Amino acid sequence: MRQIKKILVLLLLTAAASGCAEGKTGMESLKETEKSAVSELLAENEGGEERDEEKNGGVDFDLTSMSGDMVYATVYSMMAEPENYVGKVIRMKGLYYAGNGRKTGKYRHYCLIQDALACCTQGLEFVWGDGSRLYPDEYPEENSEIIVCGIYESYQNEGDSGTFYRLKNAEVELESTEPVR
Amino acid sequence: MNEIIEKLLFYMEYPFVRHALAVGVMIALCSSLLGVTLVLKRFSFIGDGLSHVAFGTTAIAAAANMTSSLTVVLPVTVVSAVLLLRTGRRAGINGDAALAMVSVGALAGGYLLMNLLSAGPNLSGDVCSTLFGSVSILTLTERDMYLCMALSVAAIAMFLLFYNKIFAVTFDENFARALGEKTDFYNFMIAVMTAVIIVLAMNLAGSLLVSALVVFPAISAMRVFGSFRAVTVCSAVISVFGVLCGILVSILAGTPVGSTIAVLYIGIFFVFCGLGKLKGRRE
Repeated sequence: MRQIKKILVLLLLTAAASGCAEGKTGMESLKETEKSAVSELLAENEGGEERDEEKNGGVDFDLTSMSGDMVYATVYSMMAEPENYVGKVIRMKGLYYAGNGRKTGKYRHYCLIQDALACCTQGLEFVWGDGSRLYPDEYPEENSEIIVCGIYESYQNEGDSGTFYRLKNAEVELESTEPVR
Repeated sequence: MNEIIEKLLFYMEYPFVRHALAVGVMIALCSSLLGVTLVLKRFSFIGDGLSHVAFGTTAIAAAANMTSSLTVVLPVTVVSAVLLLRTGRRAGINGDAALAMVSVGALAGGYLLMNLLSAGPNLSGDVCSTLFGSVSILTLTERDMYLCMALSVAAIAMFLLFYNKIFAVTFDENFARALGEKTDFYNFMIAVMTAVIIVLAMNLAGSLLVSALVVFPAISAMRVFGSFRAVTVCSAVISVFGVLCGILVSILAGTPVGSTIAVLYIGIFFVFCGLGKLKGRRE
């Protein structure tokens, strides 16, 4: 009996540590903690805009100063929970890639990043400036290392029900002219 | 040093980093607790076999375009664990041979399925990520995170509730049976817990490295301590320490999470070997 009591106390402590506080379920509580953490993080970014502008040049999420794992996980999070990032200024470093849209026939431009094992690749689409540049003459060679900085936005294609995400009004810096193989 | 701490604090602002640490600690606790039992029962390699089964099932789920494979992988791995741990000895095939057959069969079948029915263009990436983990723990979906936490709490609770029975079945199953204990039931429970923990731990270390989480903390603790309780507690401490350090080092240095944790465990193992020798000399 004493042992069962001990176990119950231990379980309660574990549940409390997992976020089951104030009569809420673990899931609700964790969800709220996560949401408030994200809002705090974003509020900090919004509230401290002037300070950030001085410090980061107005960049909300600077992925160029992050480790490979963090860059990969952040880009994944941008795709999985885009609502936390839409409207924010993102700066990232990766490899340039151009892809031809099957339906539209237009070229789309991507900044690709890889995970720590270099086997998984994720890409973020960007529109360089107002999108008036001509491909391929005014774009870098594929697999060139680039730094892209732009505003994260959602958009929809005509005749396509899906929502897509990209960096608009992007500025592109060429890190290396030698393509990475 | 200040720079590292600042960077770490900056990374901690991201919810997915905090979730990874929380889930990682829970998985580490589970795997270390059951790891002692599995090592003592000479089932160290079961983790490897079951993780290959989970890999095969993940391949099926991926081919079927399922967004969350955990709901399919978990039941299939549990059934495999029960078959391997309970009925393997009655099937006329040695336990290790049965394990090898299931392990290789699931790995080969899974890879073949992924090749034939791959839903995405990045096949090598999908396979590599499932086998080695890489950053899986940092990219858990919200649903998977809650599931991991709930299952971890359940596994820890089961272990604590049935601690004495697990102890009895681990050391002398025949004696426990002679005393009237339901050894078959406890073996079944161990099999279910093992499968659950292996599936959870795959998020941390990937299918090929998952055994490191089960074996190294237990073996390291056994170098220094002699009693079941002391080994279990020490194993839990080593496991949690290794996983926490492993995740933090990985996100700071940009290294793959699973292999970083496994290498840390190897280092800890050698430290404990040294401590064990020192302890032996004193005694």
